[in-house]
Amino acid sequence: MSDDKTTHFGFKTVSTAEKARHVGQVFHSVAQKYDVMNDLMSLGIHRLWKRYTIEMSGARSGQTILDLAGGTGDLTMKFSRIVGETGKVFLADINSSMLNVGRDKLLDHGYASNIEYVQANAESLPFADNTFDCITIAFGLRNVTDKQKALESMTRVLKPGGRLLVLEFSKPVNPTFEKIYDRYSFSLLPFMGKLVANDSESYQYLAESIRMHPDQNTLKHMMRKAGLDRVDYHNLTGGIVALHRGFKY
Amino acid sequence: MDANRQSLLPTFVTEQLERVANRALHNAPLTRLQLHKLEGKSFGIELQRPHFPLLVSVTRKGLLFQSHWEGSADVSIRGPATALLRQLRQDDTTPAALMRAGIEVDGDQLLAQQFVKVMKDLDIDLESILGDLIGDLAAHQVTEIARTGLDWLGRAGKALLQQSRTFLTEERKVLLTPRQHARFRDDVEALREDTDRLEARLRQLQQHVANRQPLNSRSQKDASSQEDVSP
Repeated sequence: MSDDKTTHFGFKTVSTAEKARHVGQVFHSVAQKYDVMNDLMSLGIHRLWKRYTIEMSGARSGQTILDLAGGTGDLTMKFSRIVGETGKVFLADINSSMLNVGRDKLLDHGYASNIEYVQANAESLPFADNTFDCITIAFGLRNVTDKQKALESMTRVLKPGGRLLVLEFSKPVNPTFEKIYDRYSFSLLPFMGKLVANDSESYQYLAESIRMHPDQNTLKHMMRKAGLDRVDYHNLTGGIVALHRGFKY
Repeated sequence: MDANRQSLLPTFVTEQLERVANRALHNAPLTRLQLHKLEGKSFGIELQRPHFPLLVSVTRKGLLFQSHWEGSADVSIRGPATALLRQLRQDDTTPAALMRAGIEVDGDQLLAQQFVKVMKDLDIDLESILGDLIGDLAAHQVTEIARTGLDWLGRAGKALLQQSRTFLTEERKVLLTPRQHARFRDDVEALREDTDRLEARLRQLQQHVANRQPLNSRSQKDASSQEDVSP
């Protein structure tokens, strides 16, 4: 990838190489407080969003699942129980700090036998074609430099009949609700980041990156372009978050 | 109206149910042991009135609940919530008993029976749950007080029932004693049998009368034909 290409890092326009470096720094910085901050910022609702994602995954015993940008392993933990001893879950993240926190947490909870940890870039996944029954990427796609390339890479490693689930912040449907949400994101979020994680900049980036992320229909179109069929989405909590689902045939 | 809107309420309810069930299981070692035999199996429970679908999967780390699922469970149990709860209190958990209670079962019947039995025999150690919250010593005191209180309530309830029965049957004579009730029931039974016998006799008599009528009409007919041929 050439360095003269530009992309967004929050509201700033930066070179693609710079974005990868900045995102890396953000997640190295927030890794240790990631779960606490998620609970605080979403009032615990992020657990329901993730739980709904698992329910829509159709995962079952014996399957192979990829939890991409899996961070602290919330989805992996549940998938590990569903696929059982005959299945396998791959927890992948580009960020080593997040992966370490996730691995420690899963081991502490007694999850080990059917989980593999992989440090991987979503744009060029180090897996053979047609490997996974299901891939999930929860709150990770907006941090990827080339989203279209990442979606194509995920489609490649999906088995025919497999499905991709993208859980990501999106655009609230109600305009009044959107204004309240904007106020919350740009005022309260960095303040909480400063207070709890002593890092307001990372949470300022979080708010900005949410605004720069493609809305529901744009992402749906991108998934179709990547080669997925029957793409649909579900708005959760008024569209603050959307779960996109597509199948590979 | 947003057509893509998805409510998280069923997901929330399911999460809470899973939490409560696993917490209860944590303090029910015997049930946990029984559930171990069902590991890897899934049970689709479709409650009606109110409608609430629930998939319960038995995993090595406890129960996993889902409100949305695809494909079929090993066993599907459908029925009104009240009937299902009532069935958990019954001794008979055979497929026939479930059917009589208005509960439909699809899939492995034996597995369904085992699952209902495990749920029925749930032996939750409440003292242990309380111990996690307030400490073992305090939990023991509280459960002892609760147990004594419940015993006293049980005894007081029984005594109150007995005294009320005596007052209403012996003093006020507004209720029957069990002996009077039995006598009345026997009388009703005797009356029913008498009525049945009378009905049978009447039917026999009716039949007899019906059989005699054609004979009479035939003899009348014979008589009239004889009159015709006479010169």
